[in-house]
Parts: sequence; structure tokens; C-alpha cells
Amino acid sequence: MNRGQIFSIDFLIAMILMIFFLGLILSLGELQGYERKEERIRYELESKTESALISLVNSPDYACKLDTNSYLAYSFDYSKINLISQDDLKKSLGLIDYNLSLILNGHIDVNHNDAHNGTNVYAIDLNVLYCDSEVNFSDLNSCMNGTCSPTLSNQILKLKVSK
Amino acid sequence: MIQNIKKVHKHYFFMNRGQISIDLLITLIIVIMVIGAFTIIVSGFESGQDEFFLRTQLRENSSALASFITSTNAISDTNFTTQLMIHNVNYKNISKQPLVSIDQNYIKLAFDTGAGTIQESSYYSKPINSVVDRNGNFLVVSNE
Repeated sequence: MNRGQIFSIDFLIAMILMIFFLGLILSLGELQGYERKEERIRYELESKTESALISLVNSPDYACKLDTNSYLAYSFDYSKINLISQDDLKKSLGLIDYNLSLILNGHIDVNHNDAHNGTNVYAIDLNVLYCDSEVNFSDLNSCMNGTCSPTLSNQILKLKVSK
Repeated sequence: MIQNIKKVHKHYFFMNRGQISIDLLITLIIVIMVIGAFTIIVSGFESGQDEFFLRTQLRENSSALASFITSTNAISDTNFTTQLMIHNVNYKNISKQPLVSIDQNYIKLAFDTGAGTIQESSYYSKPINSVVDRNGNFLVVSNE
């Protein structure tokens, strides 16, 4: 080292490497945090969508009612859905902060359709019994034997949720 | 004259035995400052990460509880009592139950870190006649 020299070149290189290494560790930590946040958003979206779908196809508020005064599990009464506004439906399904769309056999329900502009979108397809009024027990029996009537049919309900 | 200056100059840089040079002192001060700055950056980062992971746990737990309550809409035409365990959250090697408060449509989980309370909430929907309450480590929803 020369007289008056404060740092040797070795020391400066060591410092630069140390700063670089520290920066790398911090950015890896940030990346881990970001991934955890993404994972949390995905988990929350999945869990909310699944519970909303269970409520939608099993709740007496939306499920098909039989003439025997019981409700069909995994069914969907469109006449009930049609009466409820999009905001009330979202409140009822616990999706107040989310965008929600209902799609029946590929056809979007225009009364219940939000724009999904977010990056996280989750959708579930489910085979349901579709009706638009009260169902007779004989119709259910016929449907179980493979000949569904227009009042009760098998359809695919897609619930699409995003944030 | 020139010889005198040289003499003085030479005398100025002469170090006694055991004396620490000004170069070494400056180096030590700078090294201490750099290490101090790194320590502050790393501890700030760690603290931020701890808070972030606590928030994530509170958010996930409140969301799971809200989804559980919302799912009971499916059996709202029956008499039922159902319960779900409220999981502990971890913060700086401490694992304990969060404080649970249940509003009309929001479930809030809070955790006292010592420096302040961190709270996360999640929206739920429940059947009109059902009651949501806490019983020990469990969240209980009943419709009877």
C-alpha cells in the first residue's frame, strides 16, 4: 500500500462482493415474499370460489325445490337466481370484494356477469341439475333413468371468480 | 531551505512505536459504519418479512373461517351445529391464538406483536337464523 492510501484494492473488491451478495440475499427474500403473497391470493380465491359454489348449488335459496318440499342437492333453479341482483348474489355467496360470472352450458348469464380484468381468475365447472320452477318427483325419477324433461335437465354450471 | 522542509516533512510522518495511524482509524470508522448500515438494512428487512408473514397467516386463517361459515348456507334448511378449529399463528418463534372478533358479516383476526396490533378480516355470508360464536379454540356455527 502507498502512504496515505485508505483501502487496498483487495478490500474494495471484497466490499463490492459483499454488497452484491447482500443485495442478492435481500432480493431473494423479496421474491420469496412475493411468491408467498401470490400463493395466498390464489388460495383465498380457490377457497372462496369453492365455498360459494357449494352454497350456490345446495342452498335452499338457489337449489331446485321438489313438490315433496325437499331441495335437490347440486341443483340450480334459474327462476330464483333471476330474481336476485348481482350485488345481492355476491353478498349471499360471500364474494362481496370479488368479480363473479355465472355460465350455464357455455352461455353467460347476462344478469350475473362481471368483467374479469384482474390477473387472478379462478373457475370451476360442475355438473348440476337445472330447473326454472318447482320440480315434480316424477321428473326427477325420469331424469335419473336418463330421460330428463325440459323442466329438469343436466347442465354444466361454471362459476368464474376473480379479484 | 529545501533541506529544512524535507526534514520537517520527514518528521511529520514519523510514527512512534504503538501509535495507530490515521489511515487505520479512518478505515476502522468506515468499516464500523458499513457494518452498522448493513445491520440496520438486514434487521429492517427481517422485521418487514416477519410482519408480512404474520399478515399472510391472519389473512389465510380468516379467509378459511369465512369460507367455512359461508359454506353452511348449503345446509341452512336443517338444524345443525358445526365447528372448525382456529389455528395458531406464528410470529418470531411465538405460536399463539389470534384474537377473534365476529361482526355481522366480517370475521376479524388480530395479533398483538408488542409494537402494535396487526389485524386482517374476511367477509362471510351466513344463513339468517344461524349463530356464529367462539368456543375455546373452535369457531362454532349453529342453526337450531
